[in-house]
Amino acid sequence: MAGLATRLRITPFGLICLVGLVASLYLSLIWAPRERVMGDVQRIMYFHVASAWIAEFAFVLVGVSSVIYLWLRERRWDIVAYSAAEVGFVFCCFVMITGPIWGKPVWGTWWTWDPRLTFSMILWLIYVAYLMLRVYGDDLPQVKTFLAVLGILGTIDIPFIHFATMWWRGLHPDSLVMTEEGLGAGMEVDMRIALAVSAVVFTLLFFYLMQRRMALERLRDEAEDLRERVEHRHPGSVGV
Amino acid sequence: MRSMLAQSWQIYRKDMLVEYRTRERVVTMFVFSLIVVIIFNFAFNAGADVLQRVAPGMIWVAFAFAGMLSASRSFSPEIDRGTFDGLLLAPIDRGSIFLGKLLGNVTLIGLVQLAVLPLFVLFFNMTILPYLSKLLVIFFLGTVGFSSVATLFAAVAVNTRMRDVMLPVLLLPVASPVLIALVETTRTTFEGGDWQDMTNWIRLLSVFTVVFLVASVMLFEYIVEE
Repeated sequence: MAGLATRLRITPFGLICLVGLVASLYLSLIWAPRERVMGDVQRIMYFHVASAWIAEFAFVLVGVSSVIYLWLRERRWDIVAYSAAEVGFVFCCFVMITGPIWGKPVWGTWWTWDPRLTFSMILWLIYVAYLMLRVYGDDLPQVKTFLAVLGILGTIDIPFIHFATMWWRGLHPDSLVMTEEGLGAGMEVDMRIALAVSAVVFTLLFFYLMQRRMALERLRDEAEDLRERVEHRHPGSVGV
Repeated sequence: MRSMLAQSWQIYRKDMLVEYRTRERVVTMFVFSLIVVIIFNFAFNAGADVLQRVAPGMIWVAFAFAGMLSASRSFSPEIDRGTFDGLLLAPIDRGSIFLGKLLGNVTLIGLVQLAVLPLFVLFFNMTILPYLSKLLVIFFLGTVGFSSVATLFAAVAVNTRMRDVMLPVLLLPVASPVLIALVETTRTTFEGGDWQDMTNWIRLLSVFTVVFLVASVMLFEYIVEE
């Protein structure tokens, strides 16, 4: 049982994430210059943009591991997809929460049907569909296949949602990260550094949470396995 | 390839024969679409000018829900009566089962559209005749694209405990680009726009339809395996 205990203890990787988060908080909230027009509320952008990047990246990861799962039929790829979906959903929720907090003082409205907001909303709904299917289909033998299919279709759908919402309407501030002059040319240098650090730290945090979530899922499998073996040897001794 | 089409045709013929004898799906879809239109009318309680602006959205909400009804009913009776296992045991390509079902759904939705559109024109005092050819292309593209995803997800949803709730939850977010494109192209058409005014949307509709049709045919095999 010692093996299980070590697996649940805080790892060096976790510690790196913690230090990174503190550093990123300092850079974003104190070190980066105050935005001239929007003021301090603009600082939420460092976390908002970083989470949005993770939310999208995580779903692509769901799609890629779903393809591999359908191909190899190994449980671990299903675990990767499921963990990526769950952790990605948390970041997507964070995007949906930080967006309106920023939007209210700057745009004067909590919500508007702007392309990027609509995009995040649809992505969030696809995450919800994925997690709902996981929960309400858990008694089905084929549920992992169903989820893989949804993961693949959802990922193929991302560019379509992107273009559909973009042509539909626009109000979101023009992206300052991906400008024609190059990456991040629209921002002050210090702001760029703060955002870059935030994005890197959030990516590390994502992988850390993924790792923990995958370990949890493997423990669950192990527990299930043990329960079955005990049940097999002493029928009726384990409650279902 | 040729035999696959022939097999799909047989599945399609079987489904249409069942439908011809019961007329369950077409009638429920038609009544359902009609009710949606009437309820929307109450919901907006607006003048003629506003109604004309919201009409394209209304049309597609009605057809999207009718389409889900059709897709869901193309599998649920087969599962309930156990005939779906028989279909899977038949020595045919799984993709052709999907194509047959898809063709059936497109046909039924098309029939309902043909029946409901004149009523739309009547209720909302719209002009439709000059735009008929354009609408035909848009409706066909959109219905095939939407139905591909709907048929695939219906095959997933019928297996789950919450089958009636699961289909819209799975389908609508993924199908949202095609729905947005359909509403926009229909609106542009009703406002007298030309093909050039909606190049992007038509491209999106076509690419979506092709990509999701191919993906659905490929993935269906995994969904129905035991």
